[in-house]
Amino acid sequence: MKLNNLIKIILVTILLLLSFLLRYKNFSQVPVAGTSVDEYSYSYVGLSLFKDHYPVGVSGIDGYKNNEQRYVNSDDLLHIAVSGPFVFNYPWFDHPPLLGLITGGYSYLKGTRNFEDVQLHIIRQPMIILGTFGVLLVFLFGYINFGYIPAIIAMTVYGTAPLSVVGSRMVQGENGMIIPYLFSLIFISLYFKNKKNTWLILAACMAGIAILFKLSGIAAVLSLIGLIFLSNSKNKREKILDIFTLIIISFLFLSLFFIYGYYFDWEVFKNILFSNSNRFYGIGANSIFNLITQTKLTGGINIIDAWVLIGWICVFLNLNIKKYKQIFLIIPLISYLVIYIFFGSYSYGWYTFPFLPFLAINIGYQFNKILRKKNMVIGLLMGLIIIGSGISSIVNIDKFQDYSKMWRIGLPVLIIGTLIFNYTKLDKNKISKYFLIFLFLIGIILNIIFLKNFNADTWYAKIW
Amino acid sequence: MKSRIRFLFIFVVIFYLLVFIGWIIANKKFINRKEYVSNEELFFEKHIKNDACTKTIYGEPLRAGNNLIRINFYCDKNRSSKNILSLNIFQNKNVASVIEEICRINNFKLEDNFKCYFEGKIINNFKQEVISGKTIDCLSPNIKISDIYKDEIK
Repeated sequence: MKLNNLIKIILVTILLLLSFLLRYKNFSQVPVAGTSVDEYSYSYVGLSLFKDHYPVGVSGIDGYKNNEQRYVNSDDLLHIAVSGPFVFNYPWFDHPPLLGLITGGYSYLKGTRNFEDVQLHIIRQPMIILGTFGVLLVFLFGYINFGYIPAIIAMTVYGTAPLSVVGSRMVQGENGMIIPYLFSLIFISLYFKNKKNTWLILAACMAGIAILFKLSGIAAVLSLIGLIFLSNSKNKREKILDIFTLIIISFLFLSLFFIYGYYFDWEVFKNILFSNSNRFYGIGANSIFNLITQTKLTGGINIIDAWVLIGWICVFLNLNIKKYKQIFLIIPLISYLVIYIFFGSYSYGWYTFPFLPFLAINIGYQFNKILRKKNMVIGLLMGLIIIGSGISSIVNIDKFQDYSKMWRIGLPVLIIGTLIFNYTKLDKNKISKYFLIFLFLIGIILNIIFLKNFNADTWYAKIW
Repeated sequence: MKSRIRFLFIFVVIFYLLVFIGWIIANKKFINRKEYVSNEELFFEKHIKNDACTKTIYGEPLRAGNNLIRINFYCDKNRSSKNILSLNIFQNKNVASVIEEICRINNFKLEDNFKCYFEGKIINNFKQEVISGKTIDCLSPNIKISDIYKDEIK
């Protein structure tokens, strides 16, 4: 193995380890217990399937025959966060059960036998593994399609950005769905490269598995259809056959959810499917504006994370690329956007989590381009957005007053200086490139500092 | 093209064959799903401690409306646990059920020397019905009911 390759592998391993440690640090503290009852409900469903072979979970959606109110004091929730009893329904059909089987099954293996003993400390452990694995998949997807540097940038961003890290700890269907979604994109990329049918079938299977985490996983099927449709192949018949194969296989997996519903109670299953389709459209007409400008973790709690905004800016910049590769940047994102807008529902942060890996990949691609072209102006502005928000998330406004003079004078000088260098073409040198890498690294270090200090105390103090 | 269609056909057949086998096994091995009723064992486990005043239930039950009961424990002059429970969860809406449930949630066994009062009157019959919006007070031997309601008495 060449030394260069060895260094590349070591760097990926270090970043993966860093991603894991950041996700692991205070994982059972933040998001604090009770932030989302879904975390428990998914696990209750899995646990009841393992213990009683019957899905029992918390819902409250209209259409269930069995409604039971119970005070279940998992994680001491009734003393710190949840007022009133949970509404338990069975058989529970709010979502497909795959994530519940993972977290509830893991909990069962760890000795949990009743809902009251379900703890975040246990059920979030598989999520940490899945989240870290997602970082590796972001790298692989980026590496296959765009090369090492964009992939490593995307991996670094996705591995350390506050919203990705803290969000990935939560037991939410979206966090499970991201894994097969990324796998399906990796496999379809390999299929385009070497035309082996095995990759297409694996991609279709993964898209199907994404649906079994959450029905919005259908975005993975849409992505694959879009990618095949826009692929380089000129053989239309072959494209149609590929799409047909994809739909048949992925919908076989979807049919498992319907068979599951038929097995337990078809009437209730139909009711819940209907209830879900008529849910309150909480994301509202300003959904796209909020998607770009807000970084919600839950319903009402935001984490300051400028990487999301930068990601969307990069998406807009990448829309201008007239290259075949652009489809790998845009199609997965647009597919999930279509499903996000169509499914609507309440304005919870976790519905936006599947955008994050694709935003990171867009950042990786665009940052690499900025570095290669030494585009100081765009690079500096993006860097300042990231560094500014990073500082404000770790230093409160009163403390910041000590540095305000430096900021007041330093920033305009930096911006004007960069503009002058840009117009005089003096910025096209290696120092500019190193300066941009320096800004990027500062942004990453600020992520790490924020996450290192982010615990239950800072959560309740709301200092971010 | 033909080989792809043939492959898909075999894939679908094997897939549903496996599902069918799974269905048969589930039907034979698992409980009668048509008659499933939830059970206490699935929800709770008993944790028993002796201190009634270590924990307090958070907030007011959201969906209960006025169908709730206040239940307070006074361990000494400085230590108490004040709780509000939804009455929707009870089949038997009596004092014993309410006390049993709060003991389970707050993980303690109520000691025998505690005296309980319903709306300020001592409870002799724990099977007596509770009334929505009212209060049960349970006091350790160190506390008198007049200590709690002294402001109201004044």
